[in-house]
Amino acid sequence: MKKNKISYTKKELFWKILLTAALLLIAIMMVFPIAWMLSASFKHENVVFNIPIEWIPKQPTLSNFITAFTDFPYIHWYMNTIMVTIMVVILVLTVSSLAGYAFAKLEFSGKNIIFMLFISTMMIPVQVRIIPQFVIFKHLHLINTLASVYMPWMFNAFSIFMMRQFFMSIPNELIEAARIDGSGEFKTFFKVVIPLAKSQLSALLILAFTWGWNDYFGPLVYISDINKQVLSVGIASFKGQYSSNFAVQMAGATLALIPIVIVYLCAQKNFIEGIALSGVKG
Amino acid sequence: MFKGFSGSTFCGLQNYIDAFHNEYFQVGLKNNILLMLVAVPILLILSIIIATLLNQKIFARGALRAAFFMPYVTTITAAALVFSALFQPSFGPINELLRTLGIQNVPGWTGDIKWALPSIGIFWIWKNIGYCVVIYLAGLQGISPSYYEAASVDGATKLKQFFYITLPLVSPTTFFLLITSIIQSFQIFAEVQVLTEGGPGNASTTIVYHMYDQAFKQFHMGYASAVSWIFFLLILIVTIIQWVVQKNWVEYV
Repeated sequence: MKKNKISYTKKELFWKILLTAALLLIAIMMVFPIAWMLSASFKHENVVFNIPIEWIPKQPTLSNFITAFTDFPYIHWYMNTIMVTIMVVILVLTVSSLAGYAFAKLEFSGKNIIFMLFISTMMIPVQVRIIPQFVIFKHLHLINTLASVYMPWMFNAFSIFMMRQFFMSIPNELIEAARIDGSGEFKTFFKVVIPLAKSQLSALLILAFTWGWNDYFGPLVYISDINKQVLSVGIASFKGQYSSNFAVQMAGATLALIPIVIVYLCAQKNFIEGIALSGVKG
Repeated sequence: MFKGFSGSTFCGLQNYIDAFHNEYFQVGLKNNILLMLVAVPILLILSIIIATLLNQKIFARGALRAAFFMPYVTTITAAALVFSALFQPSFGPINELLRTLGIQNVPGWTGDIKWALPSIGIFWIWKNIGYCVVIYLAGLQGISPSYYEAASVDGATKLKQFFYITLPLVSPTTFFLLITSIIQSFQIFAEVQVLTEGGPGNASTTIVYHMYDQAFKQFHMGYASAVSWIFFLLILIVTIIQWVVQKNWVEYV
């Protein structure tokens, strides 16, 4: 309920400031680790833990980043992660919009059973599926390929469900009108239905981006060749090799986080709305 | 490494029996139950409080919400690297802060048998709280303001309004978050892998970590498959219990 700005009493203003301050304090705690990481990545190893914290290093250095790039196949990891992310985004968007539309608006036999089967896979965590999936991928000779990382995202029940729920809300008359005008099923889909789903698809795009970028369990299991690895798994190896050099570790973490945090900050509103959307009605 | 059907022998329920006699499995099960009983409630209580505060009249709501949500999008291994630095027992920032607050007996965090699991729990809560806050906010915004207006006309304090209006009306959201958070807490893996590797000893191992270790490090595929079945059944049982019990406290308006 929006009131006029003038109508604040002193008491209301006091509460508003107090609540904001309390929330700001918690927000600082939430952002602290990321800020600390960024600051530490530019520090010399011996001053990382100096107290009070030097938020802006007195003698900034890029040597940690250079170590990360020279001692680890970081370029490979970046390229692989970008490749996986692009493929996950493409696969999730095409498959779930097509499948979601089919489940919502087309009539075919066994539709409900297939849909229920699909939805029930949401109940089965990836860790339960990983052993049989590993065996299947081994027989398909997909082990140690990036395809093993992004292929499973194609059959993501959650995003198919999300798109189906949206397409259900489109009035049938609209689709029928297009059909009567003589447009084929695909033309109807691309010219009539897809333009209506823009906000859903952009929310899904951002979600898929994080899924691809942050995917960890799949690549950890399927990929053993260090040059074919992705960032999320790769940087975990920093802890083994530079176990006491926290500055290098933080540089590695910063390199992995920068792209996703930038994407997040740019599309923050869509992001949060997409998540909120996904939670409604489970 | 893996033989497929041809090279393996049928061993009945032996793998399941082995699992329940395995010390790592027992500790992992206990740890998962602890996380479910302690970390999940803390996560949800903190989230509903933050979401309720965010839903009041405050300054810079959008920026604050963005800050709370940020950890959720971070790459888990990178964030875990940061936390293992923050948790560093002798000179890490967290213990330095505790010392300045006058606590001399600071915890050893990830390297300490007693504190390894709480460290994982704290990291997990930090990572997931933004998601729960956003879902709660969506739930709170679905509550008609007329309820609150009527209550304040009747003289109910903000605290009373919270307990008698907000909590019952967001109970469907709470139910949804409870189920998803419990399932997620059972899936905790990367946190363990990077922060403690299940250690010290087996102090912070979890069922999924045990399964991964057995399947892809020791190559006991049969045994690990048994563990993942038990894991799946556990999640199923917990979810079914939730569905049955929900009628008593979830109110659909």
